[in-house]
Amino acid sequence: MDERLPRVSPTEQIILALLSREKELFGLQIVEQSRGTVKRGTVYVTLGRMHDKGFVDSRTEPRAPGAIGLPRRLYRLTPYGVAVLKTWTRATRALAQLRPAEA
Amino acid sequence: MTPGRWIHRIAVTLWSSAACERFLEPAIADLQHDCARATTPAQQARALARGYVAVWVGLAACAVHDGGESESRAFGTRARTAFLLTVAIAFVLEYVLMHTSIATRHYVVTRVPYVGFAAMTDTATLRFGLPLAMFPAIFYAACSAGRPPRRAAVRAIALGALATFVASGVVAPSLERIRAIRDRDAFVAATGREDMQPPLEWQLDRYPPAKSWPALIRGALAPPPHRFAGYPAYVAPEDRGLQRWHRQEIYERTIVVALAIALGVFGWTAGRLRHRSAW
Repeated sequence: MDERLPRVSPTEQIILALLSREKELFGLQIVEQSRGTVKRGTVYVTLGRMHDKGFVDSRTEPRAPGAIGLPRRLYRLTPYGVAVLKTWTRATRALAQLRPAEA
Repeated sequence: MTPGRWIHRIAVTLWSSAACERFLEPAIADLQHDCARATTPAQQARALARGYVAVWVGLAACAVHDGGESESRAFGTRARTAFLLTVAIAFVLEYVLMHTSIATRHYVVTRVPYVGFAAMTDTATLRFGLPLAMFPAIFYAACSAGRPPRRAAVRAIALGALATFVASGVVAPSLERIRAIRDRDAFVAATGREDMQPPLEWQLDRYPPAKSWPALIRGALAPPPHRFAGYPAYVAPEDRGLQRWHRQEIYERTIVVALAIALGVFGWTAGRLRHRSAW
């Protein structure tokens, strides 16, 4: 296997798909919209790994005056993340259509 | 109170800002947001439970992330090596002093009774050796590492304090318990008089050094026991100071953990000063 190929885990695929539907999401929204597929305990670690891979970018939310607590972090897809998602989806569809007899 | 605030304050001193920003702060921010929008106590409890899972995972991810830094790793390895070596030397010294000659044993117990009594049950190193090993460990690591980040030292000191907490509060009491049971069995075997001894449970209950943290805290909070059926108000003379003895033991163990932290900080300061003067 070529080491330069981007590897996308099943959880990362779900997060990529969710982020492609919405412009930006908080970690908590990703958990809620995945309907339990992405766990609360692992979402931030997965997002951190995806950030290292260059799939996602993040920024802190703008704070309202007088707001208490830490600012939340919003995640969005990078152009590279969008390209990886599209290629991955196409490859998955193509692989799903293959049958042993046809090959 | 805002949940996760203290964890965040402690975490930023232990881990790098990059690790905290990536793994911990989003988890804490979402925890706070989730709690703020909860309308019932049940919802809030659920939000706290789920949010804290993410926070603890985030803390672990910070540890893994920062553990990979070469300077931190070098500091940790040096500190660990020096710590284990010092503890091993202390174990050997304790064994030699207490088990090779009666004269040295007598000398230790009479001249340094506080340490000597712990050494009689082979727990002196566990109680006092670990905190004392913090100084050479941190000092050596701070002297020999290039430019170790301060948070690496904070982590090493926190780990040392945790090791002291476990060794003096869990491992040493277990050994004390084993020793107490063996001594009792030896007495009964030698004299054949079990009736001259109080029940084993009572003996152990009256001996706070043989109790691990939870039992010790329970003992410090519980009222004096009434052990004799038919005498509901009677407290045996041996049980009258039980609460005070338990509190004294808690105090001593806390002092030992504080000593580990103080010696670690001292070792770091001395090590950095020496490193600076050498260059």
